[in-house]
Amino acid sequence: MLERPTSGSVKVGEVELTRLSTNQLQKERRRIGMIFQHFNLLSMATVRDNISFPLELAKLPRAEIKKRVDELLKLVGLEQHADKFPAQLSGGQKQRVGIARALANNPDVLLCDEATSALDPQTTNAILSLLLDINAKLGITILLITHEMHVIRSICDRVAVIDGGEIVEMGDVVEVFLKPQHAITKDFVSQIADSFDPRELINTRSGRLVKINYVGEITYEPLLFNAVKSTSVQFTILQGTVSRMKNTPYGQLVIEFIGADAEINKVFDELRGKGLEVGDLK
Amino acid sequence: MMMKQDIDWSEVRWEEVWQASKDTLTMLGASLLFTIILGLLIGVVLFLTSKRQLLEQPVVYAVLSLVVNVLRSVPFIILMILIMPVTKALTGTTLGVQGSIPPLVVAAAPFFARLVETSLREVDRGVIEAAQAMGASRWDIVRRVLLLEARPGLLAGITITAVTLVSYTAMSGVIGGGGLGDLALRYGYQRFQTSVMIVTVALLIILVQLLQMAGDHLVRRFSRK
Repeated sequence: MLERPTSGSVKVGEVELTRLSTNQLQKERRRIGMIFQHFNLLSMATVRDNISFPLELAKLPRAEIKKRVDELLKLVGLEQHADKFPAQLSGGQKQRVGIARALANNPDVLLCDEATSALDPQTTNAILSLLLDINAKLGITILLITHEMHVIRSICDRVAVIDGGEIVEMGDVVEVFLKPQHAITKDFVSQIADSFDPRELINTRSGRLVKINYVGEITYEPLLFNAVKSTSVQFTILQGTVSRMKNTPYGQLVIEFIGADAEINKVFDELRGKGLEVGDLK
Repeated sequence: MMMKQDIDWSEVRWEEVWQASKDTLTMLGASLLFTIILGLLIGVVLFLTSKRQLLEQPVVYAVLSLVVNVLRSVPFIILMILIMPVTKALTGTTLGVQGSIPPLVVAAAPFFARLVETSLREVDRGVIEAAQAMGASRWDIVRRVLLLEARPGLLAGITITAVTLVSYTAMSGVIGGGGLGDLALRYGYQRFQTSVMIVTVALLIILVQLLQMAGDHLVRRFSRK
């Protein structure tokens, strides 16, 4: 918490930050690591000195600082760059310094403020996998602020959508991304999903059009084929995505079924029985 | 040909030139030291109390800023005379090397303070924010972030101030301050000894050149951008 809010509360774990004195807040901030869009490194200090900065603030003994900085350099893969200055590093390397610095005091939470917005796609992916790695290895909660949907899709578990200062939607990433409720969420999600307009299909196709959603391991099972094989129903996939969000596979398909209504309904029942979501488009 | 005959180099008393050079260096060194200490202090306070900074205090800023402006708007030659009582109280004399140091500091410190304020403003706000996020106190931020990050700007400011002080030390010769300016005034001007004038001016030029070169070298050494 860098600025005191005019109202409301800020809680990290059990601690209510708004009630702390300036001194207490200073101490408490050490339990929250933070990385920034523009890295905000000390330009006049080496990589090593940048990482030791928070440790010196915490008044750790010199030998301990050195040991900890070596560990951190190794964690973010910058051992060979310890004595360089930020201006000599690439954007991705600077952000790695930022991450090492943020982790120095073993924080409970790592705040990432648009941490990848200033980086190219490749570097973004490298930083994201480093964050995932840290999340798994150190068990630190990572709170990520971003407008890049693919960042959320590839590393986040839960997501909250904020519009005009209010949380308008919150939940598991898979849930929110596959079934966005709020207009702004739909707008965001359409950035990464193939935006499709079913109206055109509805007017030109004669069969029964449905949208099928599924999540989890069933994504990789031959469910559609199994459901139709004992019937005379035929199907065509008109549009669709099969992909993963972080570790969860999912699929979204628009399918045209051709056959007798009764048989088609039977197929739908079977698919629903396996956990797929089937919805008529007409 | 006439010029050459006019200048009589035998008039130059080299022991006096030597003594005057030493006096100038002493005045410069001592006044620069106090100017840096005082100016740094005032500059940091100006910066911290200004708008949207760590210790925002509009009244303190306005008052300090006014004092700095007043001191900067008084010409040095008049300032020297104005603060003579203060000089006397501090050093016991208004003459010589000792007597010239207080006016030099009073004139140069506000100037340097503004340069400090400007260099501190150049420090990236994001870095200050990052330090705050890491639990740095205001004092930590001044000492470990601001003064470190502004170092090239501060060194450049010290260089400019030192050069300004050289010309001020020369002026203090008018009220009997000693040094090269005093020599130029007494021999070069009042006794029409052009040779002395040339020697002192040459020495002052060399001194300014050396200061500027040393300053530029330091700035380059500490620049990381």
